[in-house]
Amino acid sequence: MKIIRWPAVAVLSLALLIGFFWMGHSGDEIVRRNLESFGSYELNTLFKVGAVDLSVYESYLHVENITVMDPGQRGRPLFTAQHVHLRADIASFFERRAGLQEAHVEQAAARILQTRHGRFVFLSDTARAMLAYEPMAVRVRRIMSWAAHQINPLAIAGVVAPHLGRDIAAPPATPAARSPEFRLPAGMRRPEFFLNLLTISNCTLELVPHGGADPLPVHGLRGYCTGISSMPRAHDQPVTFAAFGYLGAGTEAWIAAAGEVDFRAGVTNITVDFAFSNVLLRSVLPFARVYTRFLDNLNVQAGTLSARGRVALREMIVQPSLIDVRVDGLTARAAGFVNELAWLNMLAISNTSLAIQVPLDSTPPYVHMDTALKEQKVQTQIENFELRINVRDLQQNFLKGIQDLRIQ
Amino acid sequence: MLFRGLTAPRCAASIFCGVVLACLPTASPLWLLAALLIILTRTHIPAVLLAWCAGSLLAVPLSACYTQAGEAVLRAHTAFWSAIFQLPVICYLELHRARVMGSVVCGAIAGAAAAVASLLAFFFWRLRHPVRTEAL
Repeated sequence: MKIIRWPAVAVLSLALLIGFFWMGHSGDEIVRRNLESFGSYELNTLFKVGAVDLSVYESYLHVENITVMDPGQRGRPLFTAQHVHLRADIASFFERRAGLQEAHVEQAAARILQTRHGRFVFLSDTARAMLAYEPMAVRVRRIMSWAAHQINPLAIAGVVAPHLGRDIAAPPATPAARSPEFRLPAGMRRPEFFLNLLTISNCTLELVPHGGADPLPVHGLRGYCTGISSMPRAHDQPVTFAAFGYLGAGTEAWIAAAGEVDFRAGVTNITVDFAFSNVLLRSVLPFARVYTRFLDNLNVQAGTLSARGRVALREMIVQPSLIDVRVDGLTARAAGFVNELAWLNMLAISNTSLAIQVPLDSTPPYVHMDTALKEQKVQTQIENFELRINVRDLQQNFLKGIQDLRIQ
Repeated sequence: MLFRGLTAPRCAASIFCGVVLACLPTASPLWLLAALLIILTRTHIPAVLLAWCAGSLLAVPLSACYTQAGEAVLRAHTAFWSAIFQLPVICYLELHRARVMGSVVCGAIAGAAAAVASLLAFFFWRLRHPVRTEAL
């Protein structure tokens, strides 16, 4: 052991110990400031962090009161979280990867907006229009570089000189071809970032329908997700998830979903089991308005929707399955239907229940309500059925629509 | 004074380290690792510094060969190097770049040559100046 310079080893070890100690006791404020500036820069909006607790020895980072402000609406937060706990995977650091053993998010809230095309997005159209997808500093630097190039006398001379007739005959100077440096490609592709376990508890999603109707909160959300990575196809485990929450404020409606998304070995297999119960139809109808006006014309006054089923995709092909759908306490008075569905305008039902087993398969439109009706997989119990008939219409073959639909 | 306690193997090892350090890309992870190892092992620091200065001069003509040498080494055993470069810590050293690998190879060859030359010089100097032992 005479080849080791022990005093140097001792000094280095001491410096490392002091570094660990200093980071543990004084690094929180530095990390907090860096986190805020980094987040604000990357997201191009105000990113605020409350308290930070960092432990190098136990390799965790605990952050409280995270707020990301909406760039489109001043003063309104886009995302908030009371507690976020991250525990790093130290071994992955030595492999030049960013790995997290687990992340726990508690009491987080986010707003999800429905666009006019029916997509759900985090940022409103206003915010998206305002948001420069290029961070400000980069944009300024790019503009400055462009401006500097435009007024660069050498660049101007290079542009003007050929027009003066001096260098026209001379062949244009081509830069010497420089072959790029050889780099050995990575042998086995691995994700640069991975998160083994994400858990959420008591989170809230505020779903805002297009058109300005009241938002629908999904609250009490809890669940987990495993196998998240920046390169799912090269990761060693599939993405699995499970979530449970309540839909609507002050209701007993709940939703649950669990599944597995497997991108490994070049195939995409997705399996999702879902169930929801007693969802108020009136609260979800504003979301359906973007896709179809049919439900608007039904003028649903009351009713709850429940469903459960499995959606499975093998190599992105929908596998056949059945979805159980049940509507209870449906009260509706149809109005505004035209042409062949005009007969529906005379329909009014109340306190009606309807149970359907809807087939799901790979042929569009995937959900086959018509097949369910043909195969008579429908059970209904209608109460207070009302069909208003105007006797003057009797001569105009008003039942044409009903006859065409072969409803008996 | 500066070269007190300098033995032939220690001098050779220090010269080797100094020349290698001079050839490596300055302040790169590999350079920092080499510098750390030099400090932590019982090399002769003045000899290392002297070899570093000499190696820096030597690196000027040598640097033209780095890319070619590195590429030849990397292409010779692609699968082997790919597996090696994914090992923990080694992945930080950027040895997958032909220029870095070439600097290591050329530096090691030049350092070994300088170390052997120093050993020979030490040997011949000792032949002319033998150590006088006290008569028992």
